[in-house]
Amino acid sequence: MPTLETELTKIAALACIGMNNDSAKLLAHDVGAIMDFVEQLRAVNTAGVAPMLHPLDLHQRLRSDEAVDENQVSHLAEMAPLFANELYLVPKVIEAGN
Amino acid sequence: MAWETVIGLEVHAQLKTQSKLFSAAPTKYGAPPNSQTNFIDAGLPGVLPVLNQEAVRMAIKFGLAVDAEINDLSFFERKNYFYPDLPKGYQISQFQRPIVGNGYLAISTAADLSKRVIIERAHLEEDAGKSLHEAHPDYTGIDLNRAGTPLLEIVTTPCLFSADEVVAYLKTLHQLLRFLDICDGNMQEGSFRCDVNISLRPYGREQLGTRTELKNLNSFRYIEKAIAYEQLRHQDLLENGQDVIQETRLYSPASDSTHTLRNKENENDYRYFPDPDLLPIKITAQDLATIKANMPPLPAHIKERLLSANTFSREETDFLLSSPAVLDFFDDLHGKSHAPARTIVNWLRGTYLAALNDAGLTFETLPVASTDLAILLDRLTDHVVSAKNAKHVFAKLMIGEQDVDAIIAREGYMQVNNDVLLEETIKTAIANYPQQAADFRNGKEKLLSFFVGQLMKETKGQADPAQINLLLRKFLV
Amino acid sequence: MHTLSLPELAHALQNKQFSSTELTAHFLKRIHLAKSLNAFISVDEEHALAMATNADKLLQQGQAKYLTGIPLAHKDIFCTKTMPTTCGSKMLANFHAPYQATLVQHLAAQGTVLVGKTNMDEFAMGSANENSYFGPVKNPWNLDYVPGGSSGGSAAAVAAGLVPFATGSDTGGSIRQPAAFCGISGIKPTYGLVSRFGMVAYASSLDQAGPMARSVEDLAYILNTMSAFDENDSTSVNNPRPDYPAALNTPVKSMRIGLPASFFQPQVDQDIQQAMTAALKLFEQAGADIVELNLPLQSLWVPCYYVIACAEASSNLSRYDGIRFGHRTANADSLSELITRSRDEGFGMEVKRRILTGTYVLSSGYFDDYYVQAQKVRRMIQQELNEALTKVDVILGPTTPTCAFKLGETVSDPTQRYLADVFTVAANLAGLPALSIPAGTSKGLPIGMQLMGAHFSEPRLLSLAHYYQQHTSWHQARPDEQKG
Repeated sequence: MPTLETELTKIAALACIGMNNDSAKLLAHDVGAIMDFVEQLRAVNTAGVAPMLHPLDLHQRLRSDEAVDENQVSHLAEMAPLFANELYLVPKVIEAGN
Repeated sequence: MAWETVIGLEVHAQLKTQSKLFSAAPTKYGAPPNSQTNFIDAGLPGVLPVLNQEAVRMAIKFGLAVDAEINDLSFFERKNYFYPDLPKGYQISQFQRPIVGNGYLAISTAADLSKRVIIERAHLEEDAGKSLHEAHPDYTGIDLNRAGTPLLEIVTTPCLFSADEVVAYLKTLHQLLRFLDICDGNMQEGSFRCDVNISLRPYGREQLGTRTELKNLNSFRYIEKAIAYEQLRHQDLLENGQDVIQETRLYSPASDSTHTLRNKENENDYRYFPDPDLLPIKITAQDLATIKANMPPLPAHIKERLLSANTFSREETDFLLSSPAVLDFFDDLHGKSHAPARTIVNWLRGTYLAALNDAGLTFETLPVASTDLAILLDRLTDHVVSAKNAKHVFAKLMIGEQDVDAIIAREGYMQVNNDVLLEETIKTAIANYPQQAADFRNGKEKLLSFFVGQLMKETKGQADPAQINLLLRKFLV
Repeated sequence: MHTLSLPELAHALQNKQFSSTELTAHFLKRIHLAKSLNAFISVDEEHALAMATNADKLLQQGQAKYLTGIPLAHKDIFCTKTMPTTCGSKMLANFHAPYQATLVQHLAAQGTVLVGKTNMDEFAMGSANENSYFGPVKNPWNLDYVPGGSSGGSAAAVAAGLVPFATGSDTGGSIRQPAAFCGISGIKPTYGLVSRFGMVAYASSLDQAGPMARSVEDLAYILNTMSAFDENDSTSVNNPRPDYPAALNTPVKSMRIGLPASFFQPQVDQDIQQAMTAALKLFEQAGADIVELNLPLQSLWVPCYYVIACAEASSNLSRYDGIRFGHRTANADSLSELITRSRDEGFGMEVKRRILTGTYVLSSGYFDDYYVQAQKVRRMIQQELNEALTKVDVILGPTTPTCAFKLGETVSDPTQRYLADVFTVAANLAGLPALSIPAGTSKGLPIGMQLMGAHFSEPRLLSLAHYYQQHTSWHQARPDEQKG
C-alpha cells in the first residue's frame, strides 16, 4: 500500500474535508487500519460474478412528466446560512463564463 | 509539416419535458431565481430521485432517429465533485452504460460532400444550477432553477476534420432535435450547448494528438472562430516542439481567443459509481416498437420527399426545413389555400419572413393566422388583388386586422380584371397617343411601358399589369 | 401505563380507561426524570400534548385508528417538521426540515403522538451511540454501559419505558444491535419495504427504517403502518403488504431453523451461546427442525459492508457544504475554505473516517479492486444466503458476539468496533429481513437473539419470534426492576 498519509491529502481534497496536521495523522492511521482490514476482499475469486447493483434486482419505475409548480423559495431561504435576493451566496468564484 | 485537425463534439441538449429529470419541479426558462427549485432539486437531507418517463422516451426517440443501439438495460451513475451549483455534491449521469449507444448522423458540408458522423453514445443526465457572478458585489449568487433539468448528452467520435464539418453536423443535429420535438434548440437560453474536443496530428498518423476541450460556445459563429484560434494555437506549440496540455479552455468572444479554465473541470477524479437510489432502466422491445410507431417524420426524409416531388428548389427545401414551425405553417397553408405550393413558399420566404424579422417575431409566434393568410393567397392566385396590393393587405393583417375581403373592399384594392372595361380603356389610351402607338408599331419596344404606365394611372393601379401587357400587345399590333 | 403493550394501550384508549393526554403526560414525565440517559435530542411537550388532545377528540368521536393516541419517538434521522432533524451531528444541529419523512407521515396519519427525537450516532455511523454531537446515550440496564448504536437513543427510550415504541434505522445492524444491548425487540424489514424518503441517507443500498418496541406483537402493529409502497422512493417495493399482526400465529411446527456453525465461535460470549442453545431447545420442542448451515463467506461480511457503506456514505454526505443548509463556517475567504472548513467543523471523527475511506475506495486506481470487488462479493454473499434460505425458513443466531460494553472504552483500532457487527451486516448486504429479540441476560445486561429470513418473509420471522415470546418472559423484564 502506498503511504496513506500522502494519499490522504489527495483524498481529503477530493472529499473537501479540511484538516490540520494532527487530525491528518490520526485519520491517516485510522483509514489505513480500515483499508488493511478490508484488504482481505481482494483475495476472493470473483471471476464471472456480476457486481450487485441493487439487492432486489428490480427495475426503475418511471414517473409521468407532470410539473408541480410550488415556489419553495421562502423555505429555501429559511434553511440557508446565507441567502439574499433569492440567491444562495458564496464567496466570489473567479471564473469566466459558466 | 502538414497538420490534420481532429474534432469530437459533445452536445448537451436540454430536453423539452414539463418537469425535471428526477423531480416534478417545472423547467420553464426565465423564472425568478430559486422559484423552480424544490426540495429534491436543492438536495435536502433525505430526498430521493424518481425518473421522468418522458425524458426516457425522448432519449429513445433520438436513438431511433440516429439508428443507434438502444441499450435494453442502462443505469445511472454519480459523478462526484464539489461546486455550489451542484446541490448534492454529485451529478446524476450515465457513464458505463448509457441509454443510447452507437449511431450516426448523415450530414452534407458546404462543399456538398456527404459524410456520416459517428455518434458514440447519448446519455441522460441532470443539469446543474447557475452561478451569477455579478449578482452581488462581494459574493457569487447561486440560482438552482436549472438544477435537475434533463439533458441528453450526445457525443461523437473524433471524426470531424474542419470547422465546416463541425457546423454542418451541429446544424443537422439541431434541426433533428427540433423536428423530433425533444429540444427547442435555443442556444441563447442554453438549451443546446456544444463543447468541442480538438487535437492536431501530422497527416497520415493514426494516433490522435493531445486534445483540449473548448467550452462556452453559444453560437455557430463562435464555434468556427474558436476552432480557428485553437487550431493555430496547437500548431504553434507543436511546431515549436512544445506539448499541448490536456485541459479545458474557455472561448472569449471579446478577445477571440481561448484561455485555461481553472476550477472544477481540471484534474478531477469523479469517482463514478452506480447511483444506489435509482434502479437500472429496462427498455423492452415493446417499448421501442411503441415509440418507433409514434415517431414524427425525420428532416432527412422530409427533405427527400420535398426534393423528389420536384416542386421546390434546394433553397426552398432548406427554408421549409429551417424549423418545424415553418414546415407546419406551410403544410397548414397548403391545406387551406389553392395557391400553388411555390407561391406559398415564396410568400413565406419573402414578405412573411421580412415582416417577422421587422417585428422581432418568429414562426413559433405567428402573428397572422393561417386561415387569413390562406384567403389572401387565394385572392392573389385568382388575380383578385395584384401582388403589390396583396402586400398592402398583408401589412394590415400584421397589425391585427383579420378580414381579408373587407380590407380589399375598403381600400379599393380590387383589381380591375374586367376585360371589356380594360379593352375600352386601352383603346382610349391608344387613341389619345397615336404617335407613341405608331412608334411602338415601328419597333420602339420600350413604349410599351409608357402605355402600361398610362393604363395603371387610368385604372388607379388596380389593373393587373400582366393582363394589361397581354391586351396592349393585342391592340397595338 | 408504561408497562402496557401496544394492543393493551390501544384497547385502554378505546375503552376510555385513560386518555391520550394522560398517557402522553405520563411518558413526558418519565422522559424528564430520565434525562441522564440522554436518550432524547429534542422533546416537544407542548406539541405532544396538542396532538394528544386531537387524538382524544378522535377517540371520543369513534374515529380513532389502531395507534391513535399512542406516544412515539422518532430517531433523529427522520425528517420532521415540528422539531429539528439533527442526525446526531453538529452539521445539522439546527436543521429544521421543511418536509416530513413518508414514514413520519404514515405514523402521524394514525393519530400517534410524537413526543421527541431520539439521540443517535452521528449520521448513523456507529455501534455504541458514543459518536453523537449531543453526547453519549446510556444503557438503562447499567448506566456505565453503552446502549448500542446507531439507534441507541430509541433503544434506550423504549427499554426505559419512556415511550411505548420508537423508530430506528438499520444499515449494518443499527436497529438490531441496540435492541439486543437494551433488551427490546426491533426489526429491520426487507430492503424496499419501508420508504426511505425523508430518512437522511447514510448508505442508500443498505439503509432501512424499522420499529423498535417491547414485543414482537408491537412490532407487527407498527410495521403494518410503516410499511407501504412510496412513489417518492425509487427503491420502494410495490408488493401488497400482508397484515402482520394477523400472521403472528402461524404454527412453528415443522419450521426449519438454520444454525450456522460459525455463529458459535469462541469470540461469542459463553452466556450468549447458552441462551441460543436454550432458544433452540424451545423451538425443537415445538416441533421445529434444526438444520446446520455452512456459510463460508461469513468472514467477508464485515469488510464487504464497510467498503460499500463507506463508499455510498462518502457520496451521500457531499451535500453538506455549508451553502444550502446546515453548519457553515464563520471563517472562510474563498469557496474552497467555505466548503472544507464547514465540513471539518461540522463532522465528527467517525464520519470523517468513513467519508475518507469511501472516497478512497471509489478513487481512480482503487475502484475496481475495492468497490467493484466488494459489490461482486456482495452478490456472492447474497447468493449463499438465498441458497441457505431455500433449505431453512429462518437463520438463527446471536445478534452480537458480546453484550453491551463499557462507555468510554477507547479502541486503538476503529476496526475492532466494526467486528461487533459480525452477525448483523449480512441482512443489509443481501436486503433480507432480520429481527432481534431479548433471549436472556448476562451479568445484568440483556442478550439478543437474531432471526433472519428470506426476502418478504416478515410474517414467518415475526410468528417464530412471537412464539418465543409467548413461551419466555425475557422481553417483559425491565431495567428499573433489575436494580436494587
